[in-house]
Amino acid sequence: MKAERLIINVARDFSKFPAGRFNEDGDFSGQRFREQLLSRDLSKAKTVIVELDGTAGYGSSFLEEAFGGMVRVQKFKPAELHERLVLKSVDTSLTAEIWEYIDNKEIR
Amino acid sequence: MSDDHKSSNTSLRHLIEERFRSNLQSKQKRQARRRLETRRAQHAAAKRLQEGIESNKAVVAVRRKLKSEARGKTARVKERTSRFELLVPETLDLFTEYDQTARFLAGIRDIALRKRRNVQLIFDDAKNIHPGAMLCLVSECYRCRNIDSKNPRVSGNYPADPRIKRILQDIGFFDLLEVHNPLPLQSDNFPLEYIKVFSGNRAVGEQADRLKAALLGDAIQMDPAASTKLYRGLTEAMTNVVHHAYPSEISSGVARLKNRWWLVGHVDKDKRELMVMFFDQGVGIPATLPLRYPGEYLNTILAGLHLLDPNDGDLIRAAMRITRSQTSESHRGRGLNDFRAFINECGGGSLRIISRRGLYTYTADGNETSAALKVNLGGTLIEWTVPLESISNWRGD
Repeated sequence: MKAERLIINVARDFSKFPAGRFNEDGDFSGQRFREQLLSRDLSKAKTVIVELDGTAGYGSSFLEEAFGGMVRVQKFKPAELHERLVLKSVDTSLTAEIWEYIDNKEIR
Repeated sequence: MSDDHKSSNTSLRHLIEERFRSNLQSKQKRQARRRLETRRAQHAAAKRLQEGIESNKAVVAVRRKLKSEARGKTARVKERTSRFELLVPETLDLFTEYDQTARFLAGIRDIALRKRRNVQLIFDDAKNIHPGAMLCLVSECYRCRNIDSKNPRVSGNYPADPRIKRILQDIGFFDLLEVHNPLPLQSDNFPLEYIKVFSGNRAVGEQADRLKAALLGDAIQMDPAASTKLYRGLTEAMTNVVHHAYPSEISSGVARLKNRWWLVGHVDKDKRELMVMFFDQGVGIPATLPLRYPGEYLNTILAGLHLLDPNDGDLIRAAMRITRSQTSESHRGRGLNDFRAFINECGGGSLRIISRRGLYTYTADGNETSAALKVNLGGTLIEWTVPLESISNWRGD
């Protein structure tokens, strides 16, 4: 039976210094975040809350691989992620950028 | 003579003869044994002599070989150790004296990596070294000294100019050359003008944070939004190096340290500017673009920029325009656009990129220019310059 919700605090549960796209890029890459935390928790809970604040920042490669990869690699439907994934940050441009990666919209 | 007497004489004679024979036999045996021993000794001696001669011969042969090798080796070593003295120009600056600076850097590569001769950098005339050029110089020396650990290939003398000596010490140049630091350690009067160069071959976000801490200390706080944008630019630069800068399909003509990048910061207290510089020795953005994106797509971007005969600067400019969904590689993110985020956030300053034979500049007002350069830089230099006061609590000394 799935839990109602799980919280991932990136700085606490993953790293204060997320960087890189693939595992070979660095120790705290987007691929590793997706495979070890996000994908795992989405299989365990109905809703996953990702708290993004508290890290040194995010590069677009990390974000695209971590969140865009949920659709591209993990084969989630964007609509399902909109329903089950909650992104929290004081920087609204950051959450908007992540949703653009998930929705595969053009980014400028 | 009585019979008894005769018989005793006979037995005595027998006894004497017996003893004589016995002595003779003993003597013969001893002689034979001695002869045998002598022969054995002679044989052994001959053997030893033979062995000795042979070993002497072997020693001589080995000695001759060693001598011959040593002569050859000495000749080679001499060739290797005969240092080629390269005079560091009075000014090294990739923006005001580009050709001179890039040729000087190419000279180090040519002598140390192509001709495989040792280079002695002579700093007697050096008076001005711009931080970007300094980073390229350090990276070149780093490569030359690490490409073959047995033969460091680059060394230098201490600069005559005390300021240059101070800068070189503070950025870790003397440590890199494994020579004594001639000056006392710099005081912790933050922000520091120069800090040691960082280097790596993976995307390590912590290095971006360490750079900030080393340059600004604890008391000077960078605006969080600006800080995250700088982090974004630096980690994307590192990721780009790992993914694209050193493709196996393209040779740069000299030995490369795979995926290696260098990073340094600088505060110009007079201009009140923060500079962050990132360098790799890859083949350059203009060379990797055709590998990353299909030709027709590139042509569309270039046509959109009205660049029909693009130079390397134009190709960097085109690369800055490429966004994720415009490419067939739908997961490539914002690409080089991330480099502009820090400038946009600061609302001032400039981004300059030199890659191969191209120069690209971008300012906070959105203005961008591109230009061709005569000399190949031998890599990609990304330089952010922003007003420090506008993004931190620093208000000058």
